[in-house]
Amino acid sequence: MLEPYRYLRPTTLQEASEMLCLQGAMALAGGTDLLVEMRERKRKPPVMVDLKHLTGLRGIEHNQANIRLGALTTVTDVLEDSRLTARLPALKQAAEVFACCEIRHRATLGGNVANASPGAEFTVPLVALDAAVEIWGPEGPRAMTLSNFLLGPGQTDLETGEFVTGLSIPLTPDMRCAYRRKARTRGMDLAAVSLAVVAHGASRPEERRICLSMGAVERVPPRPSRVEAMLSGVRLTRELTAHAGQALIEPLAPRASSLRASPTYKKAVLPVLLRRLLEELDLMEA
Amino acid sequence: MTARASVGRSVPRRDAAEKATGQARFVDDLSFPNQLVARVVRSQRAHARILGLDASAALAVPGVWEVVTGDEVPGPIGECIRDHTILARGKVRFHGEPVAVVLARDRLAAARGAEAVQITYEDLPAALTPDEALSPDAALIHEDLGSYEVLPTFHPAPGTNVYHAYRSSRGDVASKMAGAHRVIEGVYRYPHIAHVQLEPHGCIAWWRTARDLTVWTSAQSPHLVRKVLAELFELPLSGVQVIVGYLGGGFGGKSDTTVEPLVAAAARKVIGHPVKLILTREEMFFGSVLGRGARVKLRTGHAGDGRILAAEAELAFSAGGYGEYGINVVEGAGHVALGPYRAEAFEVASLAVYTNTPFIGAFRGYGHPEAHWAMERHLDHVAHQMGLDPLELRRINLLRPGDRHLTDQEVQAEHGDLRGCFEAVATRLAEADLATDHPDKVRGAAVCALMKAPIMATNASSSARLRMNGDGSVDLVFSGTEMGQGSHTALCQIAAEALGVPEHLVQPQRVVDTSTSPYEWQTVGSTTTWKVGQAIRAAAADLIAKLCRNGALSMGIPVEQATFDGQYICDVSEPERRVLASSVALNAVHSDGSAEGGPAVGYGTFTPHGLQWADDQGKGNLAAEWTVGAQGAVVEVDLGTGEVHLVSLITAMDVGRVINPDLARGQVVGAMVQALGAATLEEIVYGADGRIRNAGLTDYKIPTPEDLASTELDVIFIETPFPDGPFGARCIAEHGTVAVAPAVANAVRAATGVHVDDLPLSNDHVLQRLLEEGVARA
Repeated sequence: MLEPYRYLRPTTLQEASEMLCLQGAMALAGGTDLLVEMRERKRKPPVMVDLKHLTGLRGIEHNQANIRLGALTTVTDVLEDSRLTARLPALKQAAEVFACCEIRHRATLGGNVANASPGAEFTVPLVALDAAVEIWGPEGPRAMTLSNFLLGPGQTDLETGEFVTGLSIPLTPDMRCAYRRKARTRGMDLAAVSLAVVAHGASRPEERRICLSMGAVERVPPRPSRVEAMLSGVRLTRELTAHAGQALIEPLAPRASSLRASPTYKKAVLPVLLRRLLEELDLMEA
Repeated sequence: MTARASVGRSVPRRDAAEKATGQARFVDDLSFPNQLVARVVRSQRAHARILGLDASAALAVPGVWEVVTGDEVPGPIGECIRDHTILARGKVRFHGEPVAVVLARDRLAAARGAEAVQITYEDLPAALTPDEALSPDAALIHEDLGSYEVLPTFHPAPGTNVYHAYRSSRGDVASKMAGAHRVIEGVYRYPHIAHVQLEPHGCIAWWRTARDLTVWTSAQSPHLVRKVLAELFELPLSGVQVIVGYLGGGFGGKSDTTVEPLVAAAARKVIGHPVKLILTREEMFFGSVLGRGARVKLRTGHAGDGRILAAEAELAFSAGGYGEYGINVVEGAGHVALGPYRAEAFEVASLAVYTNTPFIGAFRGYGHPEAHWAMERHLDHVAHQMGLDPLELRRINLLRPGDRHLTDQEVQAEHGDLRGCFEAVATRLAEADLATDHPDKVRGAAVCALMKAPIMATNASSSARLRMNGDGSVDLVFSGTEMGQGSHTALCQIAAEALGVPEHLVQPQRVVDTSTSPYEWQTVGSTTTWKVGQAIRAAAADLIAKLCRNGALSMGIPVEQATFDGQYICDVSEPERRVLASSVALNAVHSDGSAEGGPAVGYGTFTPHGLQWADDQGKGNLAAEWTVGAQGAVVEVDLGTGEVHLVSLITAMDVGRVINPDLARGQVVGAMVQALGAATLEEIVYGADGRIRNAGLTDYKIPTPEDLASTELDVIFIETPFPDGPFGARCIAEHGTVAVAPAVANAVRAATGVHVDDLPLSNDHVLQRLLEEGVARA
């Protein structure tokens, strides 16, 4: 049962920022997390600032050097942009397993990253893709890397009055990417563990750069730089990949209390996912 | 004109259009003037003394009318064992137990009020598993067990947490074990699981006066709810009216009573105000009943060819904080502890153990899936360890006519073709493709056999009324509830067939009202089509007799000469002489306008034949019906991720006679899918504090279409007529759940060589077992 709240609907970025400075105000986009928590009476925000009418924040922009995703872009919008899904299959793969059809229509990319869940479907590939977060606030616009933006479960670098306006993904030549998660079911579920692999300069092993991120293993999706270095600039053999898989999980200590998967499971599956994604991206030596 | 046969055809569901268009009405669709909303304040402790309860802050919340506590309500209740205090009194026995009820003008005020009730506790040691509760130093969950009223066939052990033990034995187990070629032991676990009905439990209780109660509820068994409420409030049965429309799923979890005593007791404090309680999705997990929750120890001695010479079984159920709702589940599991297999000697004990968890109750399968999980899993170990073919091991041990059940009842050919079902599935699986397209994936197949009987009161009667209207249409009234199983449709077909009229002329009453609807014991045990069907056949004979009487009066012939052909009452001695049955449905009207005879209404009853109470050896005529079958699974296991994909799942069942092929298949497939959830996904997870950590669908996962998109679900019906069933039909609704889990686990073993003895076979659990056995792929 929702407690009553003051509902505000800004039409400009400036107005939104001012409203979000009100005591206890919370930003509402798709509402697929916030409203559930309010129904469960875990959150009782006195003020809700509905950002959905900032229409300029919805949409996908294809540029030479990057792709910009407006914060209000829905998961369905991602799936329906064939140019985006062709260029960045990892985002398509995340969108396809994201919740259910109804929620995909509603949930936004800005909400997914601002909610800062350690296993959020989009943050994992976006972290591996070196995405930047665009922010608006009382001081105007600013931007930072998604990796720096995410501070912990439910915690971000957003200050009072600030909100996410978009995400920007730099494009590089000969880029390939893939995302895979394991969940308890094939149907609607949260990720038990996930992995994103991005290869820049994919077809030339000597110049290739591999970027990785994982979901639901640490407080935020990490970038395992040591393993990325092991896999970059070399021909990928099965032995090397197995070695990298072990290095990937060696520092991980997922929390034991997760209902979605045990630490043993997460650590056993990640090397398998790594091998399978490298195979799928055709990066392994025959 | 003779009507086309109704039985055996896939006529459309009677409730399809209403439900598809949203016109079907459920309890939460109802509301009344002056209605108040109830919200339950629940225990935050697993086992504790209540030191104090302060409702003053709650009563100060605007919109809150009353706060009702345990001292203000009557009870305890319980038909078999009177142990259930509907609001905690003095102590709480599980996390989530109702401690108080807040009544308020709306849901928000009720929620605020519930949060403001202050309760102080003194913790007691808690036992969450049967083994903890059985340990000699376990705290007693019911200190007063010895003083509870209990039916004579149940056996509580005061001073322990065992509130019933079913025991049965035959022959000299010790000497048979000593002479066995091999003795094999195992322990098998089935966790608590939830029913996850689409429609939450809900009830509206309205005291018009202090002695006049009306209840609208989502309950499987309106007449039982009426009986419990009448006893609780010391009212005549006629002073309690229980009204039940459609249920959005039951699966046993709305049998007995659920929220009705609680809501009615709270509403008595606000006479004149209907009080509504609808459980939230989360509350359904701890505010109604759970299912399963068994630990089974098996020890079997075998001859060299695999024959079972002796068997020992101990089943222990974590039955929860109150025993009433699980007591017969435990009993039923004991009756079939060795599955559909014979043992020359056996000792069986099935223990109902109080635990500091929400209590278990009926759940589709009712003790049988637990017993079959253990026995079929165990036989797989036996086959593996003795180097026997799993199919041959089963063939040699399957029950056959002339054998005796654990209850001493004789297995008869008319109980169904167990061997035929088994071979039908085995043949199908022999054709299965076990090749995979990925080096990390392996496939395997397995077959398990099953049998099930309904557990019920010896006087579990059904009754039905059929009335022909002046236009020839027929009204059908009974008190079996329609909870999605399709019984309304099947029963109309039975009525039409028995009368010889077209099926579309028969209209079932949608709403059961205990003040007008004929008596029905309960809608449980898959028995409605069988028992109500038999009552309807009797009612049809009665209606035909009355139509013939009126027809004979109308034609001026002796009643013995009148017959009904489905449309006309005919004179057998002179076939040209006949009158439309509809024209005499209300009266025989003579040419001068005078009338006699009266409206033709048929009434019929059915009581299962010869059921007895168990004797003190656990023996007797305890089952009035058996259904047998077999289930097989083909699985593909990903050795890298532990995923178990069901390639196919097949059931063969001897259903006696198929009344409606589409509905029958739907029932079996639905049961298979529900059991697949228990096999691969479902498990109630408790924290150390006894709180359910996954109460809700975020973390309690059930199968959804994506999980089944590439699974072949197949059903084979074998029809050995059941002499005591309508047109030969027997019970089918639960049976498809009974052997799915062991079929899946045994197929996983066939694929990987790895045994999994504790459910569920989740990805996580399977991968851990593959890692332990060194079979996982990195």
